[in-house]
Amino acid sequence: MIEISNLAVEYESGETGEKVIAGLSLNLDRGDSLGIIGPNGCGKTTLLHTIAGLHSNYSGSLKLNTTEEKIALILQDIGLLPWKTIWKNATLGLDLGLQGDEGGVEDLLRELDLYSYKDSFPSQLSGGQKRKLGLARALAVDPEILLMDEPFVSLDEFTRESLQDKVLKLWQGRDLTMLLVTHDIEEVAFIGRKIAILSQAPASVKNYIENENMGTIEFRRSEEFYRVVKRIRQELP
Amino acid sequence: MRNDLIRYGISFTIMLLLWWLASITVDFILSGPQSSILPNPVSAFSTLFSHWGIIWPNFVRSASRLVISLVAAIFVGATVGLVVGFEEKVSRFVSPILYLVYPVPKIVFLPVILILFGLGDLSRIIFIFLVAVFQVTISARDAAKNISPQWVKAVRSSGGSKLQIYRHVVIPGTLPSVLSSARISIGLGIAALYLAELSYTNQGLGSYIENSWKVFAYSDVFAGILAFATLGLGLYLVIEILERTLCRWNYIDQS
Repeated sequence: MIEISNLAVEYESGETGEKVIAGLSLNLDRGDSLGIIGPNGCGKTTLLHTIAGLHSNYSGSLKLNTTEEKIALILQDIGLLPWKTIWKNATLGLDLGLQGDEGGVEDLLRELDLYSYKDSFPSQLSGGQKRKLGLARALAVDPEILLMDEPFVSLDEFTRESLQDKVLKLWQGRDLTMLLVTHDIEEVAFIGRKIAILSQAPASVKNYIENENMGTIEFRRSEEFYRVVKRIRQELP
Repeated sequence: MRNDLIRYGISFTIMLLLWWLASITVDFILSGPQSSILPNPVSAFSTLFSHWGIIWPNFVRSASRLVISLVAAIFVGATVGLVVGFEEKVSRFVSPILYLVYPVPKIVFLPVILILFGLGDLSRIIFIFLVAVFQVTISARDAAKNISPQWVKAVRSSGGSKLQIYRHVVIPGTLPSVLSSARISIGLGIAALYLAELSYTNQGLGSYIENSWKVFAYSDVFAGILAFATLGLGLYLVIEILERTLCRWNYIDQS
C-alpha cells in the first residue's frame, strides 16, 4: 500500500538545500497501522505532509497504491475553519468535491458524540471535541490511507485514551491504512502494529518494532504493552 | 435587540442634552445675529421636518453618490487586498504602490478628476471611491496575510484548488476585517461626499448645507447635518446586519 524508498525532502523555506528527511525508507501493507515516533523536529510532520501531497519537492520514490483523493490528513492543530459549523467542517471534503456520503458523516458524528453540536461553531467545542471533529472530517471522505499528525496532543489522559480507543475501533471497522506520528511513547505502542523509530533530523528510519498483539482495548493493561513501551524507550535516540 | 434600542435611546438623549447645553452657552457668549450660529436641537429637528420636501431629494442624491462609490470601493478594495495579501509574489509588486499612494490626500487629485471626467456625478463618485478604496485594500491585505496556514492546508490536503481556498478560507476568514474597514469608509466617504458637493452642483446635502451657510440659515445647516447623520447611521446599520448574518461565528459569545 505504501512503499517509500530513499526519500529526501528539503526544508520548505530553506534556501541552503538543507534536508529535513534523508534516505528514509518504509513499507506498509494495506489495512495495517504504523506508528512513527522520533525526537522533536526530526521531520515527522514533513514526512506526513509529503505523503499527503502537500510537498512536491522531494526526491526518492513514494508509491501509494491509491489516488490522492483517498488520502486523508489530520493536521497537528487540526485546522478547523472557525466560520463553518461543525457539520460544514465535517463535510468540508465533500464540499470540495471528494467522494463520500452525508449519511456516513452523520453516523460518524453520532459515533463521536458530536451530532448534537452540528449547528455549533468550533469555538464552542472543547479540546477533545475539536480533535474528534478533525477525525470525523478526515474519515468523512472514506479514505484508504489516514495520516494523523499528533492527533491527541494536549489532551488530558482520560480524553486521550478514550479517543485512542475510538480511533482503534473506527480503524477495525473499515479497510483503512493508518499512519500515526507522535512523540507519545504509550500512544505509539497502543496504536501502531508496526512502530518506526526515527533518527534525529534529517530523518530516516532507525529501527522497526513489530507489535502484533495490539488492537484490543485490554492490550493497554497487559504486560506486553509495557514491554513494548520499554523497548521503544531503549531504542529512541 | 430590545437592549440595543434602549442603549441607542440613552446615547441619543445624552447627545441631545449636550447639544442643547452647547447651544445655550453659545447663545449666551455671542451676541447679535451670530448668537444663533448653533441652533438648539428642537429648532434643527423642526426645520428638518418642515423642509423635508427640499431636503429629501438632496438626501437621495447624496445617498446614491455615496452608496455607489462605497460599494465599488469595498468590492475593488477587498478583491485587490485579498489577492495582494494572499499571493506573496503579487504583494512584492503591488504593496510599494499602495504605500506610495495611500498617504497622499486624495483631494489633490480632485481638479484632475474634474477635468478628466467632467463636472457631473461620475467625478464625485470617482473621488469618494479613491478616498475609501485604499483603506479597504490595506485592511483586506493585512487580514489575508494573517490567514492561518493550517486552514489553507486543511483545504489543500483535501484536494482543494486555489479558487476553493479563496472561497472556503480567504474570503470568509477576512470578511470581519473587510466589514470593519467598510464601517470606517462610511465616515471617510461622507467627509469626501461633503467636499465633493461643495462646488459645481446644486444637488446633494453638501450643497444644501453650503447654500444655507451663505444665507445664515443656521437651522437649515443643522437640519442638513442631521440628514447626513441619518445617512451614516443607516449605512452603519446595514454593515451591522451584514456582519451579524455573514459572520455569525464571530458573535458566538454574545448570543
